[in-house]
Amino acid sequence: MTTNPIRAKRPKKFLILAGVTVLLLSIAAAFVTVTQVARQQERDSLVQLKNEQLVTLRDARSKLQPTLNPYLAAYKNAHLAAGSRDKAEQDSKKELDAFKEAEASAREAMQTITAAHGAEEGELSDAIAQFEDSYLGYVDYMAGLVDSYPEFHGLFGEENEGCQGIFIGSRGANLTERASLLTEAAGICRSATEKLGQSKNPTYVDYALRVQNRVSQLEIDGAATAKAEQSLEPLNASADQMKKKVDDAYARNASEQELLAIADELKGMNDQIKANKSEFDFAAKRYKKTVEEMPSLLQDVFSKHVPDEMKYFESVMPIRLAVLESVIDDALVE
Amino acid sequence: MSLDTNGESQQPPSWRFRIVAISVIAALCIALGVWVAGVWVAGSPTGQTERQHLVHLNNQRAIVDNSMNLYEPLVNKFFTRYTTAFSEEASDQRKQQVFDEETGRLQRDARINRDRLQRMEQSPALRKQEVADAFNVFKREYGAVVAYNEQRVTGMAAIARSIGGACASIHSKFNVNTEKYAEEYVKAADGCLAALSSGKEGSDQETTKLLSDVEIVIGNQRGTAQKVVESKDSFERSANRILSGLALLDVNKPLNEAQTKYEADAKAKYSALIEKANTSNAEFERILKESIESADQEAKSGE
Repeated sequence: MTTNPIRAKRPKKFLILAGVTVLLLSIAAAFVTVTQVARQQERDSLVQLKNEQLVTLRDARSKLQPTLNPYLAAYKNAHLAAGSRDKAEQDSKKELDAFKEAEASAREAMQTITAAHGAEEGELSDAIAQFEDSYLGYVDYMAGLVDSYPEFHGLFGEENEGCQGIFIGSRGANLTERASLLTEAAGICRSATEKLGQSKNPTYVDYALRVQNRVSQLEIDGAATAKAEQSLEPLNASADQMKKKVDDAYARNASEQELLAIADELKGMNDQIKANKSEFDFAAKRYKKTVEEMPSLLQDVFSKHVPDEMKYFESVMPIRLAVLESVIDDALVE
Repeated sequence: MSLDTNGESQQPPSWRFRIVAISVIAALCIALGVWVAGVWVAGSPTGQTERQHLVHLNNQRAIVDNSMNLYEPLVNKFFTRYTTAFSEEASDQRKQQVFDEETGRLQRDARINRDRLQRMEQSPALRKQEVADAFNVFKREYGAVVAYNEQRVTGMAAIARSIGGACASIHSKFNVNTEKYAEEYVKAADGCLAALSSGKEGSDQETTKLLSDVEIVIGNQRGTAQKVVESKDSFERSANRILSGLALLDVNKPLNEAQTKYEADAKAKYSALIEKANTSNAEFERILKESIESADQEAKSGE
């Protein structure tokens, strides 16, 4: 080898320097490209979230209510026409499917968003989680309203089932018979309300509990009136006896002392009759009031409680959405 | 290495060439470093302009302000659901479930709102004294609204448990005209009084006042019923029953008064908090907008 070691070393050094530079260059270029691409992707995904995914979601959400009401009406009418739950379910299947489809797309729209952005930490994921909470709360509420509607409707819409039987009316020869008819009906009613109480919809659950409480109250008051009626008979009998006793005492010119003793006895009996009547009146009044309350309790579900819940969702969801959009806008500020 | 094999025949690069080459490489490296640093910094807060900081802060302000609108529906929902659970005597499990669901949601809101205020505190825009001052007032007032709503939930829970629960319909569910009324009433009143007294723990001033007022009314009524229970003979008993019945006629008035007073006081207190918050928000917004405008003008004159 004729190489000059000193001369050869210099180009070698130079080459290494050049190599390192090229390496640095490519690392830096790669870093910059990756950062830029990631940043651009993040922006793109935020723009997509706001301009596409949230628009899709709004769209999907707006289709829920318009498919809910037709189903409820269809089931109710079919039930009225056919009189059986199976037939009603069959005849309202088309409307049910339409709702289920709307429900599925509403859930999917949210799923798309959480799948794309749910894992991120901080402001955006907080805003998404809060929006998701109210949005899915709304979807769940609607779905529960539909899913348990047959049970809800059956509570007072089904002959020989549900709670229809608790309206005893003039059945039964006396109050004791009515009370036992009520106990029987209350048993059937209780298993129906327990079933409705399992619903995913809190309005139905509260309603089931309300009905259950009223029915228990009816049972208590029904038993009380029956008991008062029963004790009336012996009271009447002893009243007759007392009358005889008084007549008898007058007939034989009884002593004043005896008359006073009879008067005391009369007073005691009078108190007993009054107490019995008072208990009867109290229970009967409350029984009547409870029965009268039942229809408005039912009516309140769809005229008061459901609209109240809707109002809640209608006030919370738009604010959550506005906050989410503001968070996105803020992240996109140039 | 191929270059080494014929090193003798190749001329080594001249010094001048080397200097040029090294300078070029060094310049490239420096340029590269600046570029990388630039890209890096641009993505982080430190790389943003004064104007951007102000815009972010203003956006955050609007988000916090809008979030406050959620308290009214959320708190009302909690109270309605929780009161129903008590007035309809739902199972303990159900009561707990309703409580956990609704207070859990409110707690999360409080946490996120506090996080937002904390994040705003980190903003470089606060280096400007005027902005920092306005922010501090804003933070204090909005922090107070968040804290008050937390307190409000505690008080409402106490009211639902006592007045909406153990004390509900205490004056209508028993038959006054029966012998056992006094015993029934004393027993029910004891449950109600216990719920009232435990409800006062941790409740705010207005709630405590309401619970105490109701406590006095029920306590007095319980006292008259207790006298009936303890009566030795039938004469004393019927005399005490009459007195107890008369007292019952007056029981609703103070109860309603206590409730009305509570509602008015609580509303006045909350309205005052909201008003202060709104004022601080308007002021903070004004200062931020002015600062953004002046930043725009500076940028224009700088061009």
